[in-house]
Amino acid sequence: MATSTTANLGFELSNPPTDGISSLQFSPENPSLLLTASWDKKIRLYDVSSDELRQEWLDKAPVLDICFSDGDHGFSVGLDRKLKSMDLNAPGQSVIGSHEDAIRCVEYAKRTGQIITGSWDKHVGVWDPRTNASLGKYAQPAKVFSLDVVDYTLVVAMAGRSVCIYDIRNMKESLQCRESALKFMTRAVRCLPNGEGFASGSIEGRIAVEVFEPASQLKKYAFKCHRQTVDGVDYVYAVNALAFHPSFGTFASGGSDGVVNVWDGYNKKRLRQYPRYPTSISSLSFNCDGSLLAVASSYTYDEGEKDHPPDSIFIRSLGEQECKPKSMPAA
Amino acid sequence: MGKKKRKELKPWCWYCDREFEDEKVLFDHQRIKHFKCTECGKKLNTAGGMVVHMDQVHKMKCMTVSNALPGRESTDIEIFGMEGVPEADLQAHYDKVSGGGQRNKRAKIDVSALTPDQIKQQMEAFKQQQQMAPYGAPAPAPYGAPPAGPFPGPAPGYHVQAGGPPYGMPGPYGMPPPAPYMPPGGGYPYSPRPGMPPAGIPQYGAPPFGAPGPHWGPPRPPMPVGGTPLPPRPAGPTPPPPMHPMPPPPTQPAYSEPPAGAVSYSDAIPAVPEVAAVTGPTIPPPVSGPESPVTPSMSTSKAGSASIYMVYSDNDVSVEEKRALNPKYAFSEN
Repeated sequence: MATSTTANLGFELSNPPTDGISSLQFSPENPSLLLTASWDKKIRLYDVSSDELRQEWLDKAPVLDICFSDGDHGFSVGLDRKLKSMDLNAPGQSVIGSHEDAIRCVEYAKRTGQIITGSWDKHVGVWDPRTNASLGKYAQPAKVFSLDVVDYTLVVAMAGRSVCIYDIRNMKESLQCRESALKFMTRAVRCLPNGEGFASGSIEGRIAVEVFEPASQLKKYAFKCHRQTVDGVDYVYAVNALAFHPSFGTFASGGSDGVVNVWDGYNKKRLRQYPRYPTSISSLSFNCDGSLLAVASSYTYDEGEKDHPPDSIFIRSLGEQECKPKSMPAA
Repeated sequence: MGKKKRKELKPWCWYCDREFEDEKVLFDHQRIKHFKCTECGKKLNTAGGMVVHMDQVHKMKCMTVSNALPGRESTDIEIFGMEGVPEADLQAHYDKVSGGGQRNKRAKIDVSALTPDQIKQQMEAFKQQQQMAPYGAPAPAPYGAPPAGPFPGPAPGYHVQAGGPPYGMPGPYGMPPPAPYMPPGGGYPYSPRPGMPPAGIPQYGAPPFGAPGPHWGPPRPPMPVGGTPLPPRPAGPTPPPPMHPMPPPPTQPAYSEPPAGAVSYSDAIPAVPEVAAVTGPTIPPPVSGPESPVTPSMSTSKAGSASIYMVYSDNDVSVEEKRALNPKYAFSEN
């Protein structure tokens, strides 16, 4: 790796997006390919091992989220209300479909090979990336803010603290619609890699870990984080980003306080707290072999328009034990 | 000062000279305050464990125990709870807490250092304080007027601390010269000092095993509430009234200052360490939060005393939606 290394924060990419970094995602196949979405209307593909900006796509509106399907194809959504696909080795995008309002989030469901979008138009869209066909749009109780898929289970987090859980093989009706365990707006939701539940973060510095199984709701819990006490005032920051480690099942959280924590959800322990980044953490992603954590340090507009540190992407290389839980639960 | 008495001592932390209700709480305290890795926040059980951890995990040499009193930062002494505390310090601590016997030495220094005028002034101050504080909490007594028999308990506790040196451990406590105890105003002999052990609980805990002060010295100055024995307020949840002129819990400074060299991000650690520090001095011993630190790392409890400021508090509209309204992000077809 070349260029600047900021002490303890990890290695900083040299050509970061020039406006808010809305999302970053590592390739599911290549441990050093990183895709980013930005408010500067660009999608960028980096090779982080050589600190190289491989490819750029210019959109007409800010890009809010991106995802990979395989190592060669990516998908983007944003304020232009369209779902687009990209061949990562070529310029140009093709439109797959659109929503009535901005599309906030996009995920790839590996099991079914479908793309799933969540929009502020209160719908979840399901798409077939091979034929560019819409497989249906499903009305939700509120604007969709975040969603994630594990196996056949889809979790959709919405405004009004609604959370709906679907089986993606039967999107016509939800398995469950529940109220978030958190009392404030959900910012991010991510599924446990073991398929048993999901974690969500709210604007009120709190993370909840819930299980899908309605019968075992006692197992769910929530805890405070991303807070800071200054002069007796408890500053509570939003939890903007969650990312699960691909092999250990531990997860990282990033907040508007600029802090990244690594949690062991099984043992209910915090494993790591990294030194504060220059500004809000807007997105986090582990790479496919779990050796790197990408951190987007990018002001998230929590306090409106204001001067803020430049947007930057840090790549932390993780020690073998860094995100490993002390004891794994009995499988 | 026999062995028997020592057994009644509360567990205390050698590193910061703070007392605890329960040894378990002491263990947690030490893990959180003193044996925490400054790099990753991992909590170890002993100083040695921390050194090994820092060395092996972070390849760093760890030379000092954080938040320790000056002179006690050494990582060489293996201490776990009360185990491993050097005998001399154990003795010194006991003396300090019980305040028995050793008083003469202190008195020698302080009293002889006072001019008659100063004594007068302090007497005045003392009287005033006594009026303000009908329970006649003990603190200042030793200075203006050596306390008399019926007033044994805490008084020794206080002045022993103030007069640290006589107990043969000036170093660790970094005692300032006696001067500070006699401010020109003659007002209040105690100024909170860094390095001073927590005042609140320990001193109140003192009476039970504090050997009654020797009945020596001149008669007590007039006190409104005659010889009210101290025990009526054994677990006094507030600092002794006479201390009021100062920042009430002298403990606080002692605890918040040492972290100077401590972990920069310790503030964000979920609750527990703060809880201990904050509630310690104000809550009566029996409930000084011994249970809370059990699972420090993901604790969901926290003293809800601080006012809360949510940096982003709009529960209906997300930041992205607001940001999207900015004209520079406006989207137009074509």
